[in-house]
Amino acid sequence: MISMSFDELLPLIFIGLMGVSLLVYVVSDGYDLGVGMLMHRATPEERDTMVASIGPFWDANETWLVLGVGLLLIAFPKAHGLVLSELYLPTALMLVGLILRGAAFDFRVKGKANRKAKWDRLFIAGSMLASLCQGWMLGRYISGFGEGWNYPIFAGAIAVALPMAYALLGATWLVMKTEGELQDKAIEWSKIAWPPMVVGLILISMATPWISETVRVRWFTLPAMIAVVSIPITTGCASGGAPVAGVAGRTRQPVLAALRIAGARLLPELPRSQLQHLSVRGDRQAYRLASRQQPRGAQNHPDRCLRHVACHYRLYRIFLSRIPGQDHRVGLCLSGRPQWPTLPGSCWFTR
Amino acid sequence: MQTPAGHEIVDGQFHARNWLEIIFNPSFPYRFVHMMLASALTCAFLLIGISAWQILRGVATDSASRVLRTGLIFAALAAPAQILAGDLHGLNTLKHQPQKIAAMEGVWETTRGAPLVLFAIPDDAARSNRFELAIPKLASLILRHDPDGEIKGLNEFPSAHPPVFPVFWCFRIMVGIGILMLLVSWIGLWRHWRDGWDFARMPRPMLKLFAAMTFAGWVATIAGWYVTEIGRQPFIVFGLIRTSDVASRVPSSSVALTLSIYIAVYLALLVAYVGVLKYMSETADKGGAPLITEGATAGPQKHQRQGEFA
Repeated sequence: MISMSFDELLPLIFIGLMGVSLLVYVVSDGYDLGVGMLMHRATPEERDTMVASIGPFWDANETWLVLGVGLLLIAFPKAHGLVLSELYLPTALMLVGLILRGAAFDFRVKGKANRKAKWDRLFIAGSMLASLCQGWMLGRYISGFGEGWNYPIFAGAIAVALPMAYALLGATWLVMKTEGELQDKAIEWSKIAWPPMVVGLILISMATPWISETVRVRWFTLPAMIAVVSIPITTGCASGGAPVAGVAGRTRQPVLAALRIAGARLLPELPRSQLQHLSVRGDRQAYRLASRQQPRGAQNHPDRCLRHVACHYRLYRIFLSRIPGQDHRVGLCLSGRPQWPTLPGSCWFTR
Repeated sequence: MQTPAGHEIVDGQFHARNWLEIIFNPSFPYRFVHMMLASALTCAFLLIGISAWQILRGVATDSASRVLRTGLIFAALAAPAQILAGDLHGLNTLKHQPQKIAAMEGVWETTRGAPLVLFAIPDDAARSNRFELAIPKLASLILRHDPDGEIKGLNEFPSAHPPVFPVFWCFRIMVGIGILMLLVSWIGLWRHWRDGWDFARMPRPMLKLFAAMTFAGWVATIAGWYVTEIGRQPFIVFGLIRTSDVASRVPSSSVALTLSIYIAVYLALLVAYVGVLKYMSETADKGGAPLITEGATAGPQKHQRQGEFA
């Protein structure tokens, strides 16, 4: 590394920049695409709130995609030609989705009031189309644009999983940004979106070593294996309902790491800040206060750490609650009210 | 791509040699100024058109007059500047891309004292113009500043000149709109001055003309863009690479499909945009007091939609 020349270093710098911009894109535009998709489950009034919550951000969020593709073109023109030729149709459809979405975003409030619902539908459809296409592109990209019956199925699965991940991000964004009924709904939405996203993550984790020689070597050769072995284990734990992930407080690891391996695409920030929302009906007030009022430097404030512990403990309880007859030891719960099993219509892990 | 500079070709690949030369290539200043003025005119006529529409519909507030006046002054200054800049840009193009100029002017054979063709149907097969209507020697006068100046014809560039018909006609659309803009803004401003700076006294046909020209800037800009981009053909980098050599491997059916999707989406959005703009201009009077209402509109429905807009 030390003796690396500038010419050798430059591609690394650019791949790093591209990774950063795509990462930021997925996280930032992910939540506003997610909010867009979730609007079909909301009332007209709630839709206004939801749009207002992403209003100042969405445009800037999409710019990260422009930066990422621009870097690809400038720094790796051959890869740009190859990748975007392969993904020509989904890219075009994604752009149509983003165009419709952007137009609907403005026209819904500026056009005639009786057309607002129509624009909202277009906004939702555009968000869905863009997310689906991105999922398909990710699936095709990860699987090396392979030919055969199984490849489209894989890409199709990712095309569903990525929008679910976006929906989860969007829902947790709404948990953070809204109050009352909409916030309750957002918690429900996030729980619905979680399982398919986890399935998508597992698929990606399995597919990557299958496809890529480099990754396979890294994954199944000592000593590198020790470093990455936690990835499938923790991912498996999180999705399979084993309490290990929750107890160890390492729920961030599976997603982050699986993502890094999978091309650093999907939801890196998910668990610490997001998964806790799945489990924090009780202390969501505390979270809101913390996230709104804490100064920047106070990220590692003891209260916050404590809260994370509490959250992970709750997650642990959720996993436990799937096992019949096992009681929840509510007393240990820091902020009190154990409301999980009573949530109506929640997804699999509360039943 | 039009006037490439600052590069070198190593093993068939383009490499940047001097970024400043690449950016400040020979046609850059002309294109830049021409485009900026085009944007200014587009904006000015949008302001003019919408304010005139508001006055016509009787929904104008006192701001509409100010906006209309601002737009007129803006356009009256930018239009002549644009014609000057366009002329300079044309001379620059004549120097670097003579076949583009030949296509724009519909000149097939190299001529001294070339006429300015006002109307013609250029025929690529017969390599001549049909139904030509021309002013003698004017093209040479404009381009060479000499009535007997020589203009190179398209036949000097066998199989390396652009399709003539679109370039020829888009150029006429652009220039026609440009001249119309000059006339409309100057006559409009003069009329406005004669009316004592009061748009209520402006003749309605004049206001209707203003309103009709709301989107003229866009039409002219797109026509000009077609002139310069189609005029660059058959090259993608002028004089160096042909477009056909770098065409994508994507199947043409996919390209046709996405092109038609984009056209459909953009047409639909264009209709929606104009509709929303019209709606916004007609409902923008909330909060402001109407200034010009008498005689300008038939119905008293101007405040009805108030409140829907939020």
